[in-house]
Amino acid sequence: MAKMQLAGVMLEVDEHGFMQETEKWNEDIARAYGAKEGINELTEDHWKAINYLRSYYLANGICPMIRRLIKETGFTLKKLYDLFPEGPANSACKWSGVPKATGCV
Amino acid sequence: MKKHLKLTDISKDGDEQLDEINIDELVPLPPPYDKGEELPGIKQLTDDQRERLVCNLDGVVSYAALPKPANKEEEEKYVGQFIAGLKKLLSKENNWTFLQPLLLSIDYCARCQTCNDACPVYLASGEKDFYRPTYRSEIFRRIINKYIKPAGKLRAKLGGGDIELNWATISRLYELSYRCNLCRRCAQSCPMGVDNALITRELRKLFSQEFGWAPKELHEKGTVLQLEVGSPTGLRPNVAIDNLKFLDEEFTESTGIRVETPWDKEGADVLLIHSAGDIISFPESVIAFTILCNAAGVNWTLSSEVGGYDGVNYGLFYDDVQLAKVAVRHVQIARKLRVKKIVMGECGHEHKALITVADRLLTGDLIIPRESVMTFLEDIVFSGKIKFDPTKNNFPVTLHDPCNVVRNLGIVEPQRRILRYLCPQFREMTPHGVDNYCCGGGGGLSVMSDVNFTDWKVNVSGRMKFKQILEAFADRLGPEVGKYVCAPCLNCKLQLRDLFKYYGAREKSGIIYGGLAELIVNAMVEIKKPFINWEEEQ
Amino acid sequence: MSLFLVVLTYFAYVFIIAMYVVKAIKIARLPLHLRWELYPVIYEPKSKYGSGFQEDEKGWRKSQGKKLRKGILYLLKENLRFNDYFKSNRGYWLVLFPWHIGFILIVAFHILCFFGALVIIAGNPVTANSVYVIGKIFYYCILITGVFSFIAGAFGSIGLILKRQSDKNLKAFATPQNYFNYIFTLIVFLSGLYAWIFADPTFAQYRDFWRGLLTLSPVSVEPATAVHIILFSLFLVYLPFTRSMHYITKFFAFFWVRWDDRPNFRGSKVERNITGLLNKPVTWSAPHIKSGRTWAEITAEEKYHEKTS
Ligand code: SF4
Ligand code: SF4
Repeated sequence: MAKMQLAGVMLEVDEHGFMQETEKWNEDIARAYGAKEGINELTEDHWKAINYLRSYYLANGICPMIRRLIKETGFTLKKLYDLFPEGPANSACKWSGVPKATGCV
Repeated sequence: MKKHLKLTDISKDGDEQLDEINIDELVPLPPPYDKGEELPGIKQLTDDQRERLVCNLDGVVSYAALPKPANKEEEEKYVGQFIAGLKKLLSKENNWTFLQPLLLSIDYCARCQTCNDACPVYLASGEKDFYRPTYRSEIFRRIINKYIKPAGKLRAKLGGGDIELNWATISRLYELSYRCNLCRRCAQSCPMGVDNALITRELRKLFSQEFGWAPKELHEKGTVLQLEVGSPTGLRPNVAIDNLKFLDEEFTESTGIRVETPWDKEGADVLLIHSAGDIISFPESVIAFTILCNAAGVNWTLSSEVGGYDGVNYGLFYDDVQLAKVAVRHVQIARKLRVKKIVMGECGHEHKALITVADRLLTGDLIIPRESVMTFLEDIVFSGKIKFDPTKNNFPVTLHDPCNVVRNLGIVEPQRRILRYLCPQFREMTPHGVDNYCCGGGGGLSVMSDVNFTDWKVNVSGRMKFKQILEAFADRLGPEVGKYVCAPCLNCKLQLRDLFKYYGAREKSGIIYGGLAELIVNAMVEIKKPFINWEEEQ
Repeated sequence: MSLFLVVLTYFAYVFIIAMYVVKAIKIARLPLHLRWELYPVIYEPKSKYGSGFQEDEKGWRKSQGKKLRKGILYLLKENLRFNDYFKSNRGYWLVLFPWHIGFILIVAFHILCFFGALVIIAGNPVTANSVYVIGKIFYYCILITGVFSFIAGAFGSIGLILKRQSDKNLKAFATPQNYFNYIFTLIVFLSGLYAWIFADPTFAQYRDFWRGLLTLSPVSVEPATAVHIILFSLFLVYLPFTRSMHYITKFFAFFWVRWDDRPNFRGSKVERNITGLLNKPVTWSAPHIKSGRTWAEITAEEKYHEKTS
């Protein structure tokens, strides 16, 4: 299993850098992920998406559909890509500390 | 310089990479995609990854968790396990499911190499020796002859081309068995009736059923999750229902007609089993079915039982036991709902697994009729109950044939009759129908994305398909004309998504992809706004 | 010597037939397997492009009868023409085809000799100027099949050696046995050719030998012919140890796998078969299989939880 140091914590991650132990997540980790992808400052908009993603995941065991994310946050897809360089599935989910989506999605 | 590999090279220099993929040796694509250097290519592994992972084939890793043997004893143990697995593959108890086809493919290959030219992976790779359909099979065959047959070791010594079974061979065979789409184009071209795809699948089975090694997307987060939670996506029954409620509302609003998806209706005529991935990633497809079934007055339902709302069966790709469990689960649910038949969603391997392969796993009241979505949709379209205006689909459309629906199931025309009726600019790819090229995601590959495996899929296995698509649209390749690749299979759509994203097909050529049901709904008179969304979705 | 030839020939024929029958029975007795057909299935009504079965279930059932004939005809034609190779691998076809034609003709040659001997025994001489038409026909047929077989076979054997050596793709997969086979067949065909040219230009001796064979009154032949007879017998004995069975297994591979579309109904033979197979024990070692149970137990045990919502 790969490991990665983020915000001073050693984390177990998959080969794409997604956290494997979602309970270890904290806001600093999200910031550190962002910084790695060139976003040095997480804005309120970032947090809105991250918090929604994370709470949806914790409640449902899966990331929300993009449509839901768009509806809940009120952001367009383009806006989401502006906020999260690799897009909702690859950046936003990763920064929120949830595992990478698999299984025909 | 192209390297020539011998069969025996597979067992040499266990930690060394056997060969590498050079982007400029790959089959060239037409412009504007001919400049390979503008694309990232296949990501090199980091030093840390090289240290940790098994990467001794082609520089690509599909399964990070492949466990390196710690010492000589462990290597020996693996060899023993491999031989034990081989014996089980050759036994009537453990492998009655495929013993006869396996033996017919093992013993009677004429080594004529005719099948090589049929393989999209081999062709796209610039004819890399280890991607030949025959490379892994011939090695497998020689290992059986040497380690299982009487006096095999002696004969191997005398006969030359003796393959040593060691960690290098085992680990490379493992990875090699996931460099094949199980598309069976090779099998179709073999004059002897030898099926190299079947051999590949038997290899995967050996690894899964004996070692417990299988890509995590297929096994741990695949069939295991499906049987436990309901779907490899992790979608639970209540979340599935909740998502569809949400979608019903969304689409009622955007289409202006009432969209309502029925759940768990006992005694319905039709149990429709979508792939759950469609609910999450391609909701228009799922809603299109709701609209069509309701408009045509079909007495239908979805099921919210665990596994009943996800028709995928990854067991088809790597494991007979998992295949049987998932298939039996699907029919059990249908039996419980007392439906007349099960209709597959737009998912090719679901078709193959449940309609034909599992046909011989079912007995008694589990034998419930199963129908393809293609004939189901054809009946709806030509029922006369829905009004269509084909001019609404007046853009270039081509059809991608999912291998598991055409070559593996023989369903070729119904989908074409629909497209010829509803899409004035429908054109075929060359070749198509039972001779089609796989999208490059077949055999479970489309859901696998560990380490740098996606890079391999978009550069190598999907290359022939992408080339074909571009050629089908060659007359209007510019981005100003929107073009639609109809791919009625979730796995194919996922692969096309990766392909189009990698090459920038939407931006450079205006090509999008989607299912068949969406195209049908798009042509409905009753649907006022265009149903197909030409803007970027994900 | 002449007795030896008779015994050897009988032995060779009995041996090869027995070996092939044993092998065929072995394959035939393997258990029913999961469906794994590949389309087009040549005897389904929509075989031009796909399947009549999956596309149109009801129509398909009506046309079940012609299956076997259509399939066998297709494969026989393919065995004679090698169309698949011709289409996809022309260079290889050019040598492979004559080689196989050599075999087909040499078999035909022997069958003709056999019946020719019967004709002779019945009192009709088989010669060019036989007063009986049937004698003439046999004479020419035997002559033509024999000569063509030797020439085509020899050409093919040499061609295959060269082709396998020069074509990188083929060479990588060649084994010493391949070359041994080619050389062996080359010698068989050449010995026939030699005997024909120098010892037996009308195959009169050969016909006589066969008459002797059938009446169990050994005749002596010239050494060159004797050599060919010995080599051919050895060749027959050797054949079952090669992949030559693919002539026959090809029919199995197509009928029992590639075109096997027999559906499973309640109360059908297929269903009975499956019920038995599902009771076989599973001993695979991977943890998820939880071995030691039967297939039926493994699949049924997966009782699915009630809805979690
Ligand atoms: S699998 Fe068939 S086509 Fe391929 S080398 Fe063997 S005999 Fe020839
Ligand atoms: S199944 Fe398809 S991808 Fe696999 S070896 Fe055969 S032709 Fe190639």
